[in-house]
Amino acid sequence: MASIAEISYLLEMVGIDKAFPGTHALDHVNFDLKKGEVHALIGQNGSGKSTLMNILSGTLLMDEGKIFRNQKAIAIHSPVDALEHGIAMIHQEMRLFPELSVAENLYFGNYPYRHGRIDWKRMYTMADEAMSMLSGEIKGEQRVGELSIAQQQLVEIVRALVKNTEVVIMDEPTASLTNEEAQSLFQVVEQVKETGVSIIFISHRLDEIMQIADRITVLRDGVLIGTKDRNEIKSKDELVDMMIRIKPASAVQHQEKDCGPVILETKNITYGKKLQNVSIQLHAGEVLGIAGLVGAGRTELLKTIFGVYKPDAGEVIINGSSYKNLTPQKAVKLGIAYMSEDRKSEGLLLKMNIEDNIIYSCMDAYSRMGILKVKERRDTVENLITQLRLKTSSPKSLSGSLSGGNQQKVVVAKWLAANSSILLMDEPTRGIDVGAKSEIYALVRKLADAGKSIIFVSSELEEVQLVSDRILVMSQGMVKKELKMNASVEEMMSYAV
Amino acid sequence: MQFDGNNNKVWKKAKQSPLLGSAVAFMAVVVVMSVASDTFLTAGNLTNLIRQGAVLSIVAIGQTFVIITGGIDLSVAPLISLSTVLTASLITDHGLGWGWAVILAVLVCMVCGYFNGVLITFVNIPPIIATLATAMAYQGMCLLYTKGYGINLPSGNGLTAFLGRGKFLGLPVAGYVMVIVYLFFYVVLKYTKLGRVTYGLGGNSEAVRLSGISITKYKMKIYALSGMLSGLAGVVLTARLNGGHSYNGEGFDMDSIAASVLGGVSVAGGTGSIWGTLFGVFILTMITNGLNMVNMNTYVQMMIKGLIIVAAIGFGSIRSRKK
Repeated sequence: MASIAEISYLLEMVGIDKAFPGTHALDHVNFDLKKGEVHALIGQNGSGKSTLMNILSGTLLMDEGKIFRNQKAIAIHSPVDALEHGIAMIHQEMRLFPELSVAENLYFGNYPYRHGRIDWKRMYTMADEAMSMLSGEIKGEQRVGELSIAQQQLVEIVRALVKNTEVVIMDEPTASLTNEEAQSLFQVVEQVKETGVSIIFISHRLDEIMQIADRITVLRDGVLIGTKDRNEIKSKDELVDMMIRIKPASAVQHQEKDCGPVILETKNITYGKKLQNVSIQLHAGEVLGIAGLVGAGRTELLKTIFGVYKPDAGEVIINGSSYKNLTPQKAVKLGIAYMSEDRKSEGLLLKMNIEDNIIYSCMDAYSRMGILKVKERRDTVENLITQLRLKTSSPKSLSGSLSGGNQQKVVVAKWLAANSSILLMDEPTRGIDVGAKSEIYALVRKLADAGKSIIFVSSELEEVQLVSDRILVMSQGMVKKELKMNASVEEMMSYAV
Repeated sequence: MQFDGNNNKVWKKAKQSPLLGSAVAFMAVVVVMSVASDTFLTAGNLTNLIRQGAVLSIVAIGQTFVIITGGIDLSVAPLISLSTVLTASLITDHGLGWGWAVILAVLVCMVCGYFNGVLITFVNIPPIIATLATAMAYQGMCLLYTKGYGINLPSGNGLTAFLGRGKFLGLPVAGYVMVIVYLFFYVVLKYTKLGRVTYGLGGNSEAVRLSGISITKYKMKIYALSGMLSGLAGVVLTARLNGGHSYNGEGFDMDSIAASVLGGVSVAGGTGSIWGTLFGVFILTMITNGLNMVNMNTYVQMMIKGLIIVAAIGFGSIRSRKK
């Protein structure tokens, strides 16, 4: 029997406390890490897991608490400090230089020199060797921008490893990967673990956590709920119970319904190699699910309908009229809304408050002689905040200070305020926790029942199945198959790959 | 206890507001100047300060709008000069009533600003380069028009009498113009679509576009606005100096940028307020005024001003990094 003193932790975070204006992000949280383990950190959005990891990796400073490495107290004030203590974070958004070679990305700032000049030849060899630890396919001379997202992730991991890292923090590494890519990432994680490196793995996908974690820590609203060995946990429902206060209704029940007339149609849309002869029809009050893997052309299709991309051929027909030169401006006027898969860079104005964001697409309707009607605006915004159960202390809070789920609600609210009748939702549940996801599903169904027509794009086939009235499967820029509601995930998958 | 709690909240909110820093700096300059000089706090000098500050305050509004969008307007100085030259020439050489002269001069400057906007949006030239180039062109226009000579207004003309020397309730008319313009653009920035889009462009212009708003249209409007306000500032300057000259606007480019930044406008775009800019304007005006009163060498004054601008931008960057 091992006594407590014998368990030696590589890292210990004790009593970590952090407050932001309006929220107590972390309330004296403890977290520890053993050598060579995969430690999953889970919790709903806003639970404090990102804050905790940002503190460990030096991007945020804690208000209180201590960090120990091999029983010695260490101070982490910046990412450089963290790296010196062997801690590297791989962010959800990649931090690579797409225009530079793999080798230069790996050794950026640590170039091998020869006669005072960078020794490119040696750098490429070093890079080839380093990459071959995890994948023989990626060569040091390749430009990072040419690689797939999954391959880029490998480069990120190797970049952390060549710096003699002991701890790798991975923030939602599978968020933009296909199932297969995710599985091969898990093999990589196993390989890395065997070299004695510890991994902190943040994810919303409980299945994958059950698959690869050795220990699991759950946070909720900035409080530590518990740390458990994987073996102690019998099913993922146990984890869900720890993560949420109230169990969400897991399924959104809906019956097959007769949808209205076609209100949106595309005819033979071709856009470069991304879209080839895509023809779809959307009926009034219908949720049309588009399933497919990342890169299947789903985002391009939505952006073409919204007028962001000009198709090389084909037409978009809205309410019976054909449009060839749509712009986002015209599309919005025609009642179309586009909710980007990338909330932060395409959806929200992070430096502006919730109220401004919600009213942004319909300011004309809320102006009298050019001046915004303050009261009407406030009423609408407060209505939507209650209706969507948006969690915020005030409509004046900056949208950048909200958690992912609440940010998504701001985006939805914005288009509801604009009274859009056709909603194009691109991965609306990306980076959103389990509880908030069910809320979004219920919301999508409610909107459809209220007469909105929705295109629902997602890589998570289960959710496409859950919310759709009809399903299209896309692959390589083409619509491969139309399926009825309740088509099985396996069937969708067979057309998607 | 309850009272303490509330007080704390107000204080916390105030501390987060970039206005606080500008207000404190403003007060500090007032205190230092009134200690350093006996004449600083006299009625005569305060009137003078308002007259001097009015010109900068008006052009700084346009600059504030532009910087909030994440851009910059380096052409305001020659546009002020152009406005003084046109106003003076239209009155003196062409015998126009001063009202018409003012309207025409402001319109021409607005068109020039609009042209900046066209270059920045349609031709896609970065604002700093586009306005640097047009600044040169507008300066050339002034010189060509005047052949380098100054143009004096006829004695007893209405513009100088009203806007330049005129007083209402003991305060200069130029001061009232300034206050009206500030109130107007406060409403524009806070309560109109143009104002909200201004912030959006600096924060995330792609999100603005995907909200169904034309980035091009609004950017052009904002640069035209900056041109128009330069024109108006030029008119006030013409009235104060009783004439126009091709180099009258010199220095207002850096001063207006400095005033905005001193007032808490971030050069990265997306944040700032019009009242902050007004504080910034008077911080700069008082410093210039004070240095003049103690007979500081003009070259040393330039150095000091330059360092103030660096310090202001530096503080701004440090503040945004902390966030």
